[in-house]
Amino acid sequence: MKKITQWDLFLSFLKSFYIQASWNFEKMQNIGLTFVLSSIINKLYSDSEKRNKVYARYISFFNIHPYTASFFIGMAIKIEENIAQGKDIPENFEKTKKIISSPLSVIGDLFFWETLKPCASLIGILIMLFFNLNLLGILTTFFIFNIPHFYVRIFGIWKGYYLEKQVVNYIKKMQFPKMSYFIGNLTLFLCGIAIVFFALDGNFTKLYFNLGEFSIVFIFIAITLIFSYILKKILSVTMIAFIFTGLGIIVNHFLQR
Amino acid sequence: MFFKILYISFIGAFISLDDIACWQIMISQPMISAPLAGLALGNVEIGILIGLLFQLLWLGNFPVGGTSKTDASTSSISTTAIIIIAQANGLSISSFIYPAVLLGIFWGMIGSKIDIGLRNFNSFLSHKAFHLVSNHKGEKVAMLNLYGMGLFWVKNFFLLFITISIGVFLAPMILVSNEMMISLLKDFFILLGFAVIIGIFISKKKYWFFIAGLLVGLVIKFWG
Repeated sequence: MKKITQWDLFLSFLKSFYIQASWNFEKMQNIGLTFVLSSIINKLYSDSEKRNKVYARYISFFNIHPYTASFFIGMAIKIEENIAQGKDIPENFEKTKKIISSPLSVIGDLFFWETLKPCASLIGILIMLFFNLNLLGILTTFFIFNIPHFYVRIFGIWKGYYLEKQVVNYIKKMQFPKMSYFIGNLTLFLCGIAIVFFALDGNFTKLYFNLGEFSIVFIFIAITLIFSYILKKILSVTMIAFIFTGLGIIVNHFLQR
Repeated sequence: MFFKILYISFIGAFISLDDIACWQIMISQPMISAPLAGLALGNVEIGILIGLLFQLLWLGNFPVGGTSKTDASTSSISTTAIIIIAQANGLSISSFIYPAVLLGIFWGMIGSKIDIGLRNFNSFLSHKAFHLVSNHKGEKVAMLNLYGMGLFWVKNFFLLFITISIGVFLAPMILVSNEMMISLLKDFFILLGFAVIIGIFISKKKYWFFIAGLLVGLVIKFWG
C-alpha cells in the first residue's frame, strides 16, 4: 500500500490555491476539491474502478473558505489514506465534511475577509496618505494580510493530516474570534485617528472652508458618520461613488460654460 | 495604442484571476493591481492614486460564497489604463480621472454580473463531472478545474480589452480639468472609505474605540 509523503502534502498545498477555479452555484467547490486531492486519490488507488468510486464521492456538494480549507484538505488526505488501508469507512469522510466545513467557512470569512483585509488595507493606505511612502504602504498591506494567510494555508494541511479530528482543538487554540475582535477594534481606533489627520492635513481649509481647525474636524466626523448611515440604510458604496462621479462631470460642464 | 490595450488586457487578465478564481493573495486588490497596471504602462503614480481610491471604496467587498461583489480588480486596472493610454494629446493626466473613474465603476458593476453568469455556467462543468464519473472516467474530473480557470481568464481579458478600448475613446470627450473638482473627488472617496470601515466594524460596544481614536488624533495634532 502506497503511503502519503511530505511531497504529496506540499503538492496539495500548491493545488489548494486553485480550489475556487470552477466554483459553481450547484455544487460550489466540488470540482476544486477533486482537483486538489486528485494526485492523492490517483496515488492511493491503482485500481481504476475503485478510484472512480472515490471520485464519485468527491463531486458532491462542497463549500468552504479557500484559506481555512487547508485544515479540511489535510484531514481529508488522512481519512482517504485510512480508507485505502481499510482502517476507516467512506461514510466518515462525508460526516467529517459536513461537520467541519461550515465552522471553517465562518472562521475564514470573519477573520480574513471581514477583519484582516480591511485592517491591512487601512494600515497600508495610512502609510501612503500620511507618510507618502507608497511602496512601503503597499508592501505592508500585502504582508500583514499574507503572513497569517500563508500560515493557515501551509500549517492547515500538515496539522489537518497529523492531528486529524483533533485539529478542531488546534483551531480553537488559534483564537480566531478573539483576534477578529481585537483587530476590528484596532481598525476603528486607527480610523478615528485617520479622520482627524486627514481633516487637518488635507487642503480643505485652503480650498473649501475658512473655518477653524476644530470645526473642520467636526464637519469631517459628521460627513463620515452620515456616509456610514447612508451606506447602511440607503445606497451601496459603488452607487454613491458612481452618482458622485457622474454629478461631478455634470457640475464641471456647467462651471466651464 | 491597440497593442498597448492588448498588452495590458493580457497582463491584467492574469492579475484579475487572483480576485475570485485562484490564489487570492491580494494582488488583485486595487491598491496592488492598479500600481502593477501603471508599472506595465509606464506611470506608477496614476496606478497608486487609483489603487488607493478604489481600495478604500471597496474595503467592504468580500468574496463570500456566491455573493455579488463589484469586480474591483478589472475596474481598477481598466481605470488606470484608460487614464494612461488616453493621455496622448498633451492634456493634463488628472483631467481624465473623472471619466475614467466613472467608467471604471460602471465596468466594475458589469464585471460582477458577468462573474455570476460565469459561475452559473460553471454548473455545466459540475454536470460534466457527474457524466465523467458515471462513464468511469473520474480521473478526468480534475481537468475541469483548469477549464474553470481558463474561462475566468478569457472573461477578464475581454472585459479589460473592451472597457479600456471604449474608455480610451470616450474619456477625452468628458474631461474635467477644474483643480478643485479633481481634489474633491479624491477627498470624497477617502471619506467614503472611512465610512465603509466604520460600517464594517461599528457596533454599540465598539463606538468607544472609534471615539478614542478621534481623541488620540486630536491630542497628537494639537498638543503633540
